[in-house]
Amino acid sequence: MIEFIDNLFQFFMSLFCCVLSGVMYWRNRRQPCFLLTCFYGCFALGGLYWTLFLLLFAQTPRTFYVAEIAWLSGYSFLNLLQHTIMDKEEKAFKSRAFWPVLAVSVFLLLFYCTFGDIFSNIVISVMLLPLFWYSVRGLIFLRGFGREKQTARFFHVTILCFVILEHCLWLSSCFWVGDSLTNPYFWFDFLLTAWCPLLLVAVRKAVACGLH
Amino acid sequence: MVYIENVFVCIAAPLLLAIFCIGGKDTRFLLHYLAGMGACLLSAYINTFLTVFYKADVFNATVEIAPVVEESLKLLPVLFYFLVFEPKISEVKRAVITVAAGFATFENICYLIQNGTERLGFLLIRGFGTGAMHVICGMIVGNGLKYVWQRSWLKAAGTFGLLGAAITFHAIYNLLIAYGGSLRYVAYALPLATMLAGMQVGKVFRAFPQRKTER
Repeated sequence: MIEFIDNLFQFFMSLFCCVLSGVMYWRNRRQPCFLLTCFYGCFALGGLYWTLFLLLFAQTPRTFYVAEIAWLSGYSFLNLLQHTIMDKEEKAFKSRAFWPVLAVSVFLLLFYCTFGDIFSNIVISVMLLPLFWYSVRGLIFLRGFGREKQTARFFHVTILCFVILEHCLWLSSCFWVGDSLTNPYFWFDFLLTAWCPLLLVAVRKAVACGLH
Repeated sequence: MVYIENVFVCIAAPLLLAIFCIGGKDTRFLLHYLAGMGACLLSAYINTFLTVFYKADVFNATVEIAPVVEESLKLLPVLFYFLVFEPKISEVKRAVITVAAGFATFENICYLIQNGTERLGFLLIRGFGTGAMHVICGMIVGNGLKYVWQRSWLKAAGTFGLLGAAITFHAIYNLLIAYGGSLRYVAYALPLATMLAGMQVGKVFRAFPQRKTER
C-alpha cells in the first residue's frame, strides 16, 4: 500500500511541476523552461505507468523497461538542461575530479550488477554519469566565485541531490525490506518527490538571473 | 500456427509491384506503408525472442515487452528515411503515420487469421481501438518530430523523449486491455479520445500568437 501511495504522490507531484514549468515556458519562452517541462513530462509518464501497474495488478513491472525508458528520456532532458544553463567558461573547465566521479560510478555500477539486471544498470549508470560529473565540475568551478554565482551553485547542488537520491534509491532497492515505511527505499523516494519542486525553483532562479 | 512471413509475402507482393508502376509521391506512401508492415513482422520475431529470453508469460509480454519493441521498430524506418534521404520536415508527420497505419493493418490481419472473422462488432471495436492506438502513437511521434527536428539542440533528447511517450501510451493501453472487464472498453476508447483531445488542444494553441523559443 505504501508503495502505491508513494508512486501516486510522485506522479501527481511531477505532473504538477510539469504544468507549472509549462506555464513558465508559455510566459517567457526560455529554452531551460521547455527542457524542464519535458523532463517533468517524461518523469510523470513513467510514474503513471508504474502507478497504474501497481493499482491494477498489485505488483511492479519486473520483466522489461517501459517506465525506465520514460525516466531515461527524462534524464537526457535534464542533461540537456544542465548543458544549457552552464556558461562557456564552465563548459571548457577541466578538473581531475572526473576520475573520482568515474570511480564512484563504476564501483556503484558493479555493485548494482551483482544484484540486478546488467543491461539496465549499465544504461542507467551511463545516463547518470554526465549529470553527476557536470554538477561536481560546476561546483568546483564556482568555488572561486562569490555570491554572484550563488544561483548557479544552487542549480548544481539540486542536480547533485538528484543523482545522490537516485543512487540511494538503487542501493536501497538492492536490500528490499518490504512494503512498509521502515524500508529506506520509500524514504528516498519521498525525498525524490520533495526534490521535484526544488528543481523548478532552481531553474526559475537560473532563468531569472540569465544563466543560459 | 500462423506463418506470418508467408502472410507478409502475400500482402507485400502486390504492393511492391504497385510501387514500381505508380511512381511519383505515391511511391513514398506505399513504401512507408510496406515499411510499417515489415516493422510489424520484425517486431513479432523480436517479441517472441525476448519473451523466451526473459521467460515472460503472455501478460508480461503484452504489457511490458511488446510496447517497447513495437514502438522502437515503428520509429526505425522513419529515422532511416530522415537520416538517409533528408526530406522536408513537413513530410515527417505523413511518413510516421503511414508507417503506423501499415503496422496496424498487418497486426490486424494476423489477429484475424488467428482469431477468426465472425464477430463484426468486436472487430469494429478492435479496429478502431488497437488500430487507432498505433496511429495515435504515430501522431505523437510525428507531430513531435516535426517540432524536434527543426531544433538541432533537441534532436537526440527530443526523439528519445517522444519514443518514451509513445511507448508509455502504448503500454498503458495494453495494461488496461490486459486487466479486462469494463476497463477494456476504456482502453478501446482511449486512442480516439486522445485524438479528439489532441485536436482541440491544437486548436487552442494555434489561436495564440506563436513565439520562438529563446536560448
